[in-house]
Amino acid sequence: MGDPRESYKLKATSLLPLHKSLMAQLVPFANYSMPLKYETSIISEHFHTRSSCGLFDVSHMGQADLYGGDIISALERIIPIDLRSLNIGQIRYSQILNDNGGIVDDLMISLLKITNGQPLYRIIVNASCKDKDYQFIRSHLNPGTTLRERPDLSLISLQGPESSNVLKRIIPQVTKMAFMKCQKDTLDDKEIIISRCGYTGEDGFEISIENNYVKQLAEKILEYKETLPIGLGARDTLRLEAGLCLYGNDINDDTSPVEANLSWSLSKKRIKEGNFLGSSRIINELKTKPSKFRTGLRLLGKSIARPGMAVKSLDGLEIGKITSGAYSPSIGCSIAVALIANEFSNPNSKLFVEIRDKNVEAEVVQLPFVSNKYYRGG
Amino acid sequence: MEGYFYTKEHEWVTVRDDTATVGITDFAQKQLGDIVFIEFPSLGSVYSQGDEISVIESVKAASEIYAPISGKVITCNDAVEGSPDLVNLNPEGDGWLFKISEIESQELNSLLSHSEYEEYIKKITE
Repeated sequence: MGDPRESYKLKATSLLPLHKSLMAQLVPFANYSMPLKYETSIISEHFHTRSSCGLFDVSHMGQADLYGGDIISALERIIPIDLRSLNIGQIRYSQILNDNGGIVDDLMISLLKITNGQPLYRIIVNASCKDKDYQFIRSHLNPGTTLRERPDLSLISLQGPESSNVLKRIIPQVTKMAFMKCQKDTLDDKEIIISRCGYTGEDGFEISIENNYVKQLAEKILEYKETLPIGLGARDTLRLEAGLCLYGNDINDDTSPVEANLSWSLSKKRIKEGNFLGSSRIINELKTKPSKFRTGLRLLGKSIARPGMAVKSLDGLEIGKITSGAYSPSIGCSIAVALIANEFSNPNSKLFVEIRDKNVEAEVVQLPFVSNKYYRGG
Repeated sequence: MEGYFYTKEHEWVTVRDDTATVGITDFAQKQLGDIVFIEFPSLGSVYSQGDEISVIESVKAASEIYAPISGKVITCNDAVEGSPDLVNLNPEGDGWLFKISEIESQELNSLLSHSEYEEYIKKITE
């Protein structure tokens, strides 16, 4: 037998040396060694992102290109969006669905270009799911279509109200981009792809760049005093406040997009056509309402609701489970997301969360907890 | 840190006038990160050494606090209730958690001294 520790060896992004030099506290996440936080604290990194801007290494996420053959019908079979209506430079948020309408993963898909009538799509999927996703997608592709994994690329994300002001000093064109748009650009002759999107509810950008150049770009962005490096800890509290799903917590292979309060992301045309995996369940849930619903909760006590804790009606009946929970730095109270029986999911409904054998009162609130500040242009 | 005793679960305790003051160590607060809430025991409740007495919630996780010494809880630190980050800032001073009376002082012998605790931290962080 080899060294047993070998199997626990974590993968590293190209920015690991930078994280170390910035005194990051590193933790294992999706088999990568990633920064939980840097020198200060999760809460101060959270506030910095909301008030100025923060740089995140998200290179652990899966980037892949899809092209060739009869690609649209194959992808539309597993992704419930209208790919034919997607213009070059547009990004969509969607989900990869299984036979049962459960979520294999959620993803960003963009149309990078069309060459001789052939589209080239870029997908970005969750780090913890990427191998499963690639296998699943490949099993549904027609011959002649290629899924090319891009481990040669890194991904960094600049998020917060100052992100456009900072990034324009390096790439002047970014100010003209709108939310959910992407464009190819060059930086010192190197091709990059900039997308105006993120996982914090703030205005922001994600930049895909070759591994060899990412450190240089990250250091350049960090030279501006508005920017601080931000770890996974604040990434989680930011995305939770923004009402965004964390795969594996809030959504999984059993949850449907309708249950997950993601119906807005389903294409109306595709629902009408009904020709994708799990469409019968999803169409049925849209008509008759799903039995469970992803719901925002605000706790009246200060204790934190953690994933797996029971949610109960006021008469003590278990009606669901907490899927995410945290102290919200922006609101200053304990917030959570739960998958609960639909009839209890109306705003202002009162519920209990069972925390360490005690019933803590909670109130249903609309998602997001903190309103988003995406740049819609104009 | 004369008169301070430590547990392997990273609580500290010091006794003055038959009353024990309890808190968590600097090592513990660093591990926990931003502390956002402390679930204090109710006043007057009695615990045995090693009982779960309180829970500290940080941004990262909930962690149990165990009674380092048997006795009755007589005071909780109001300042910490209002600003839990005091425990991050000064865990072995203003960030103390609660006071326990009617203690079994011989139990202190089973705890670590300051230098023993430092040795222990060195060992587990190697």
